[in-house]
Amino acid sequence: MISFQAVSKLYGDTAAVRDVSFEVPTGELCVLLGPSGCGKTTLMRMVNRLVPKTSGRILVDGEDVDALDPVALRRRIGYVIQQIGLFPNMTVEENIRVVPDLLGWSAARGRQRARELMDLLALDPGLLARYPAELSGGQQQRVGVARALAADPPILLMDEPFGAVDPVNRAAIQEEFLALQKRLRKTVIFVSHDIDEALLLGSRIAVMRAGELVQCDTPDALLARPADAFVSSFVGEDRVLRHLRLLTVADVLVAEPAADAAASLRPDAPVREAAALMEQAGRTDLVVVSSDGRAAGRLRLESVREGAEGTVRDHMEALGPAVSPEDDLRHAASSMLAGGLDAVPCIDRNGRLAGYVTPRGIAGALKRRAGRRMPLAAE
Amino acid sequence: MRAAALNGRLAGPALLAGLIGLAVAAALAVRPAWIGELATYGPDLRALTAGHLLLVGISAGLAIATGLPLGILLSRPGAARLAEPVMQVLNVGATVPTLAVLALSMSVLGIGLLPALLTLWLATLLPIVRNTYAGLRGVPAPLLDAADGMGMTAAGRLRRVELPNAAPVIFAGLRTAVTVNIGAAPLASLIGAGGFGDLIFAGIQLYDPVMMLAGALATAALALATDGFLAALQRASTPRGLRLRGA
Ligand SMILES: Nc1ncnc2c1ncn2[C@@H]1O[C@H](COP(=O)(O)OP(=O)(O)O)[C@@H](O)[C@H]1O
Ligand SMILES: [Mg+2]
Repeated sequence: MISFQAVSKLYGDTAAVRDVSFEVPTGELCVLLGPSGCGKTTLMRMVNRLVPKTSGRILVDGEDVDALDPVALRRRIGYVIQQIGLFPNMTVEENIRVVPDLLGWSAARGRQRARELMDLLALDPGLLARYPAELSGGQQQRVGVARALAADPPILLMDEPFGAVDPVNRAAIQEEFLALQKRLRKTVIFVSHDIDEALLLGSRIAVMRAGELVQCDTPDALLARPADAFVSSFVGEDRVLRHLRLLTVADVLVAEPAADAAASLRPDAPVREAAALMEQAGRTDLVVVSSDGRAAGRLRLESVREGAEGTVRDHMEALGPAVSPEDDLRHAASSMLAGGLDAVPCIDRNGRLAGYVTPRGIAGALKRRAGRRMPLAAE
Repeated sequence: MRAAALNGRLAGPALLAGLIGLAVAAALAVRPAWIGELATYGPDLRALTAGHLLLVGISAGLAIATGLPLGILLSRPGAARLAEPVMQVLNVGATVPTLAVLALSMSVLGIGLLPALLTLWLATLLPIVRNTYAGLRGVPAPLLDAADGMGMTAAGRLRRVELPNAAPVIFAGLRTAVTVNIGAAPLASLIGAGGFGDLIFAGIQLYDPVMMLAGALATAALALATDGFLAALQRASTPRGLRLRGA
C-alpha cells in the first residue's frame, strides 16, 4: 500500500503539489489524471524520492520513505517513463538486467529472468541481444516495462508510459498491460492525461487540478458522480457514453415481457396470442423460447399483425442480433442501434434468453449509480 | 556547448596533413634532387624522435590525466555554478597563441623541458575538458532519470550510463587535443626542449629547405599516425548500440 499524507511540494512560492492525501491499496492500479502541469509527475516522483517533499509523509507498506535509503528504495520500485529511457549503449538484455545486477543477482538468474520477461511481454527472445536503436517504438516501450518488472518489485511508478507510442500500438499495449496487471497485481501509480486510458486501466482514478487532489474514486463512481464541474468537464461531456463501456449487459437486463407471459411465445403457441402479447407489451420484436428455455428464433410484429394464422413456428425467423451477459453496454447499445431494434435480447452461455437490454433499462442503471454512494472497497 | 563539441569524424588534422603531404610531393616533383638529400636526415630524425615522443607523450598524457577528471567534475550537478565560469576561463585561455604561452612559461620556468611541457599541457587541456564536459552534459535527461529511478548510485550512473554515452564526444576531443599537441610540439625547440622542431627551426635559420622539410614531414607523419590510432580507438570504444544510431 502507498499512503500519501498531506503531501506538498513547493517550487519557490508556487505549489506544484498541495496538501494531497490518499491511499493506493496493495494490488491496485491508481491513475493520476489531470491536465498538463497539474503536478502528477511531481507527486509520483516523491514516492521514490526523485523529488524531495516540502512537507507531508509518504508511506510505502507502512514505512516512511524518508526513513529509507533512496537508492535501496528505488531498487524495489519499478520505474517507467514516457521517454522510455532505455540505455542505448546496452543490449536489451543488459537493460533488463540493470536492477537485478544492482541487487547482486547471479548472472544465470539474471539471464533466466530476462527470458521470462520477454515471454511475459510477448517479445521475441531473439531481441535480447539487440540494441534499443534496432527496436520499433512499441518494442522499446515493452522493454521499458520489462526492465521495470525485472526484479519483481511490488510497486510500479509509471509516468505516461504509453504516451510516445502511435495510437494503434498504444491500444494494443494498453490491453496487454491490463491483462498483465490482472495477473501480477502490482501496486501501481500510473500518470496519464488521457481519460480513456485512465478508465481502461485504473482500478481507481485520482483527478488532480493545479496541484490539488480533486477526487479519488473508482472509474464507475467517477463517471457516475463527478465531484465538481472540473472533474465533470475533464471526464467529458460524453461521459455517459464512456460509462457504458464500464457497465455490462448483466447490470441492466430487464425481463419484459414478464416471464409468465413467455408461454405465449413458445414455437407451438398460436401466433394470434403471440401477436396480442406483443401489441400489449408495446414491442416490435421478441425472442421465441422453446420449452427448455432456449432461444429458438425471433418473431417480428410486422409479419404477424394482419390476422396471421397458425403457430408461432410458422412465422418465426432466425434469431437476429443478440448480446451476452458479459458484453459491455457500449457494444449492446451499438447492436441495438445497428439492428434498428427497440430492445436487444441477451442470450446466455447455455443459449437461454436472459432478458433484454432496453434504452429504459440502461437509463435506469445509470441513474441508480449516480444516486448511490458506493464505498470504494466494494469494487 | 554542443556546437563546441568537435565532431571527430571530419578529421581536420588528417586533412591538414594530407595538404602538407601534397605540398611536399609537389616540391619534390619540382626538385627531385631533394629526395636523396632528405634521406640523409634519417639518422638525425631517429635521434630526435625519442625526444619528440617524450615531449608529446608526457604533455598529452598529463593533459588527458587531468582534463578528463576536470571535465567529469565540472559536469557534476554540484559543480553547476562553477562549471560555466571555468569553461569561460579555459575558452579565453585557448585564444592565447601557443607561442605567447611558451614565452610566458619560459619567463617563469626558464628554458628546457619543463616550460615546454607546461605549454603543451595547457594547449592540450582545453579540448579535452570542453568535450568531456559537453559530452557528459549532453547525455539525454531521460537516461539520467531512468538511471536514478532504477537506483543506480552516482558513480554507477557515471560509469554505466554517462561515460559510455558521452564516449564519442569525449574521444573527438581527445583526437583534437592530441593533434593540437603534436602540431605545437615543434615550438618547444625554441626554448631548447628538442624534438623535430630542432630540424625545422635550424632549417629556417640556415635557409636549408630540405632540413626544414625533414622536420615538418616527420611531424606531419606523427600527427597522421597518432590520429589514425586514436580514430581506431574511438571506434573500438564507442558502444555498438551508439554506432547503430548512425547519426
Ligand atoms: N524542477 C522544477 N522547478 C520548478 N518548477 C517545477 C519543477 N518541476 C515541475 N515544476 C512545476 O510544477 C508543476 C507541476 O509539474 P508536473 O508535476 O511536471 O506536472 P504534470 O506531470 O502534471 O504535467 C508545473 O507547473 C511545473 O512547471
Ligand atoms: Mg508529467
